[in-house]
Amino acid sequence: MDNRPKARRRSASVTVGVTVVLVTTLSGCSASAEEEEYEYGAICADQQTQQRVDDDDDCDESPSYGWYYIPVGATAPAIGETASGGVFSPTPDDESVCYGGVPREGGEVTQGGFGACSGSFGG
Amino acid sequence: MYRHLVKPRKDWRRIVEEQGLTYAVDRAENGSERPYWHEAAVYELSEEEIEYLEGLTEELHDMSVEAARRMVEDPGIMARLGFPPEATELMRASLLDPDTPTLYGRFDLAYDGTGPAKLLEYNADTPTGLVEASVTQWYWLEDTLPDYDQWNMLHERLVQAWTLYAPRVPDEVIHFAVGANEPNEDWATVAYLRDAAREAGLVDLGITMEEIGWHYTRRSFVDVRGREISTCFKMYPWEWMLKESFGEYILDGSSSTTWIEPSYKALLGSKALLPVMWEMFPDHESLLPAFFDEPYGLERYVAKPMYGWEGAGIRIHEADGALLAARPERHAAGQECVYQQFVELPRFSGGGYAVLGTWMVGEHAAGLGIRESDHLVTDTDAQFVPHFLNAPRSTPDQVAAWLADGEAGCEEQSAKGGFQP
Repeated sequence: MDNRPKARRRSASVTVGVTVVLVTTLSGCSASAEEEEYEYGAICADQQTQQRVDDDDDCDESPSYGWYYIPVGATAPAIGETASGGVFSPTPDDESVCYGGVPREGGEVTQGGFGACSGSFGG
Repeated sequence: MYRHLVKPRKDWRRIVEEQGLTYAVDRAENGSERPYWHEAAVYELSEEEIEYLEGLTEELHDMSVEAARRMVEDPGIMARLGFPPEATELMRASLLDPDTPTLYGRFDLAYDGTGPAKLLEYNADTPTGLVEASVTQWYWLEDTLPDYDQWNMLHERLVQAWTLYAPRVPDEVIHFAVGANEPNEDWATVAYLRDAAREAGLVDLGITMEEIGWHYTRRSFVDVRGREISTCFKMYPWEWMLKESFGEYILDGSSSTTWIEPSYKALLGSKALLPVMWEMFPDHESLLPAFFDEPYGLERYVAKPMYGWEGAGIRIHEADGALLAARPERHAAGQECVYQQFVELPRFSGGGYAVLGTWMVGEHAAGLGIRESDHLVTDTDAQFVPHFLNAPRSTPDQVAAWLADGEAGCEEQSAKGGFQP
């Protein structure tokens, strides 16, 4: 025979202290996310050959490599392939660039396919 | 069930904000600082009342899922919902697959402690109001009524749900997505759900819906670092997702992302659920008569837009059609309405009209949050009032036993591949 009380209440065993920090962080995120829309994906490439190299190959230090800025929506090369459709300079605003976000195998990534309905009303 | 006036804690605002209730005072539409968290009053419920509500909540959930199964088989209803034709198969598959993960939902009920509670709606897809129900009112109870109990297993059940689901999550990574321009409350709710997931050992990654990318060669949704999004909790309604351009990759089967809540929750969360349930269970004492197309002679009725929330677009009419009350349409403009018999929300001495929000987590009724409003329609001006259960505090052993009971049930489910603790 099951003598358990039916109601599921709870004890004081819960710890949710982490919530505080996280919510604060995320709310900060929320504000910046509204302003932050990436326009470029940066890949590291050889400035002579435009061949894509690994993003970890000292792109900021090496005299022969540089960041190559590809507009979001354009096709990115895989490592070893030749980049096109973007620029080494001028350097776009930092806020508009996602560094190191382009997959190693390249390919095209588009963003913004979700979100059109959001904020489409005043409430 | 009673409502008492009590003295708020000194410095209550700082306390609740520090506990994560970032919207404790920012809910008023006209910009004024009307507190949303209202601890100058408290509701008292008895054990019998809570046991009744707990049983009813689980029963209503089962009935809702049964109704959703009916809805996907009815082309007329699917057409009313306005989804693309492929959505029917998507939702049917998510409904019938025992592996489909679902986390939580909130019923809104009219109940005054006497007579049957009445179902107003089921917020099954993107429910909020969780932080105050799970965290804020618990700490309030600890501070003010430490010897009493509360119907609140929300945190334990959420952690349990994530724990049970974790082995099926690739790399144990879950993305959590929110619309960038959606309110603070959505962000706070997701932050809290991320906490629970992390407590369950999962890795949580945040992203906005707008940042989600589609990788054409990999045929997958990716985050801003190019990482595949294999499992995504989204605080974003399905009716929007399927309408937007990336919805196509979900509808045509290109994407293999697992979304939480699953797509069939769009059926439960739509107001079409109400007339379908009424047709299926017309004798159920907790259902109000509800119809598509017209009020069919209801004496006093409420017109509810198909995908309205927070009261948007709701109108209350007399039998002759005369308007008793209406709320601005906002996002619900132009939506088809369903018609539900009006039920007067209870008003306890000195309080506003009260709505009970009873929570489901997985397959368990898990807690209660009560909101009060000055209007007949509960909307964004509502205030959250904490409750206590007039019974001694449950012991840790009792709680552990209840939770273990849930897990045992889940292991049986897991044998069948289920994720419903």
